[in-house]
Amino acid sequence: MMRIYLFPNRLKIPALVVFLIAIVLIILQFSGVKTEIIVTVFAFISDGFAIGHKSNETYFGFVQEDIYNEILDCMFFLSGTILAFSKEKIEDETMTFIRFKSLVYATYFIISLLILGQIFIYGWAFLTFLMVYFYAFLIFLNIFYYSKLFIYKKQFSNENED
Amino acid sequence: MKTKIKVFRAIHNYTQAELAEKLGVTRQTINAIEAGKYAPSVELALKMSKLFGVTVNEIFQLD
Repeated sequence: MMRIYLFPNRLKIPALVVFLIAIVLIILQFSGVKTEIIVTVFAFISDGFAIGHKSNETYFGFVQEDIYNEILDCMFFLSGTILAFSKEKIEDETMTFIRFKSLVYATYFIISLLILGQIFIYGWAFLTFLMVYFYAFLIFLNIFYYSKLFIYKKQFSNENED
Repeated sequence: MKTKIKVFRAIHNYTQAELAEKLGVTRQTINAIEAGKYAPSVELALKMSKLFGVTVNEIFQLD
């Protein structure tokens, strides 16, 4: 039978901790708490947009950059993915079904959000919307999955037991 | 889909937890199947039929 690769269950708690820390740090960053880690990094493309110098265009070279954002984003996306796609203690077909359902709903939700944003948000606000949207999929996927799993476990824990 | 898991469970004197353990699934899954809220995969249905020593058709019937 075809199996889907899932991360081991032991990674779930560390992933949850890192995911929550990343969310808090991202919210702090959005609310203006400034932290910088400036180092020299290798870049495929750096067009100097963020620092406002178009002359700083670099292709496949080393550039000075603030990598705090990149670290936060890597923490967020890696931990969020592991959290959503790690095995339960007893992983069976209903968990797979719930995960699949959550993935479908999260996709519908995120596409609807994008369409609504396209229609109703204009100007610079759209850029802010895109920055939030960037993180939305993993957040909603995890919320959908764990809430559905919680409801499922609660619903069938005591019912019909002998 | 109607199911007679509860009957076969009683015949073999298994609790939901024991049956779940033997099949490698959670007790909630057995509960959901018994309640008719979840249709098991072919693999799980075959495992059940093997465990109970009956055919899949004897355990599951269409409404």
